Amino acid sequence: MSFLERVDQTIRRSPVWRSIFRQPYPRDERSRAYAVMNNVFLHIHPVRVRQHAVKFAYTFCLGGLSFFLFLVLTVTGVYLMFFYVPSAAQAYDNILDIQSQVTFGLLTRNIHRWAAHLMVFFVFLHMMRVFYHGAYKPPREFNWVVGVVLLFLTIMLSFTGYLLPWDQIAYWAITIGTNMGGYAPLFNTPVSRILLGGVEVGQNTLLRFYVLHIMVLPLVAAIFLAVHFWRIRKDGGISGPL
Amino acid sequence: MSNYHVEPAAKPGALTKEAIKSLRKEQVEGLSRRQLMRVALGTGIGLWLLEVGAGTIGFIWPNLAGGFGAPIQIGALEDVKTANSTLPIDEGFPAYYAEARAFVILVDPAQQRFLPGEDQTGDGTALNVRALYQRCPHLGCKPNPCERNFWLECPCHGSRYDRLGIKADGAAYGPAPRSMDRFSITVDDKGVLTVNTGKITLGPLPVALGQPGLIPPRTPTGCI
Repeated sequence: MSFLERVDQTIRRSPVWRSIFRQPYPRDERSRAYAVMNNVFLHIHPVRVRQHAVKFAYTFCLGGLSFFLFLVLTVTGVYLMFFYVPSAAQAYDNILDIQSQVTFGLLTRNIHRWAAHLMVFFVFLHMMRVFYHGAYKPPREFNWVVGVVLLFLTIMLSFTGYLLPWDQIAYWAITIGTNMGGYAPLFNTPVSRILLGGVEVGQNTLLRFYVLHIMVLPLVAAIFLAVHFWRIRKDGGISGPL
Repeated sequence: MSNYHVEPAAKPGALTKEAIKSLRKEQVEGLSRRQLMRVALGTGIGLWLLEVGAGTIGFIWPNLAGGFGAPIQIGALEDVKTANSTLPIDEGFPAYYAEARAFVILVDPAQQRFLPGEDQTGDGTALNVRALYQRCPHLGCKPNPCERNFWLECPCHGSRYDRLGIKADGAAYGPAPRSMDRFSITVDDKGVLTVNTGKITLGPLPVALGQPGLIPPRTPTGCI
């Protein structure tokens, strides 16, 4: 046995390695299936894939692309958070600093911005695809409802993020958006007060939208995404031609 | 066969509701223990959620005390002119006061002073001054006064008002459903104007161009 093989064996037989990887490297079909089932990152994949499921032109990977963009937005969003203070006095200057002073700041902000636009677009396309294929039909009707909630969360994430640059278009767009809520019956004024944190768009609104944008809505979206993916498996796998 | 082998007393059946019930010594009358626990737990969690929900709404409800919403002193006409020296205030051009979210406008430029008195409805003709709420009745943007045509024009969706906040009727003049809202105002004996930003009267219905009640624009084209 060569030296490298002995090192390899020592590592693989150590308690630490075996506490992380309980099974040896999967070399047959059964243990490969087992590896997929027992891995947290792989377990949302089915162990066996039906032939129709790998056909790109049926789903166009639209749901997967939406999720990919969600991940891109999470990562770039965390990067941007290091340089942004949700304060009416600082927010706009922070945006300018991100664009001109921070290394790769302009790139990061643009990725975040374009990924946000694309996510809304792809979620919409995903919904259209599911609709035109009738993929919302039983047993998938509940997952359609979860998807509608996710569409709403995506739009709200987009809406709350729109205010954060704190420039003129952001300020007046949110003024208009929250005033539209004023035309809704019954809950118009209370909802607008709670959302704005006052009678008009101001410091409180900026802070509230920031908290919703970076914490509350992504957290809720992550929970609904987990349920959405889990239901795909439970409802009979990825949808195929009826 | 070992001694430890025990023959089952009876062939096990499915654990149906009836099978479980028959195992009980006596039949349950009224509420069972299980039901009581379940209802108590459900009610408890329900009450707790209600409490947390109500508490959260109370927690995030904004505190509206102070600032906008209280009476705000603007000053006499001379003060308004001094503060806006670059604008033709004496011709009845709107002066903007950010703190009051208000436009202050001389109603009749022939008379260069505010007349003492009180106007709850904010019409202001008797006091020779009107204070308009900056909020466009359409969707809440701030119409800007245009020096070229002496009108107020909303940059968001193009609602247009004369200098006293009267909406010009018709889709060509924007989507706002009514004229700009007015604040209740008082002018004291020295001619000092105070705007009560807590009392707002809705603006009147739009007036067609050419009708009395709407001041025509000075130029056909405005600022937007």
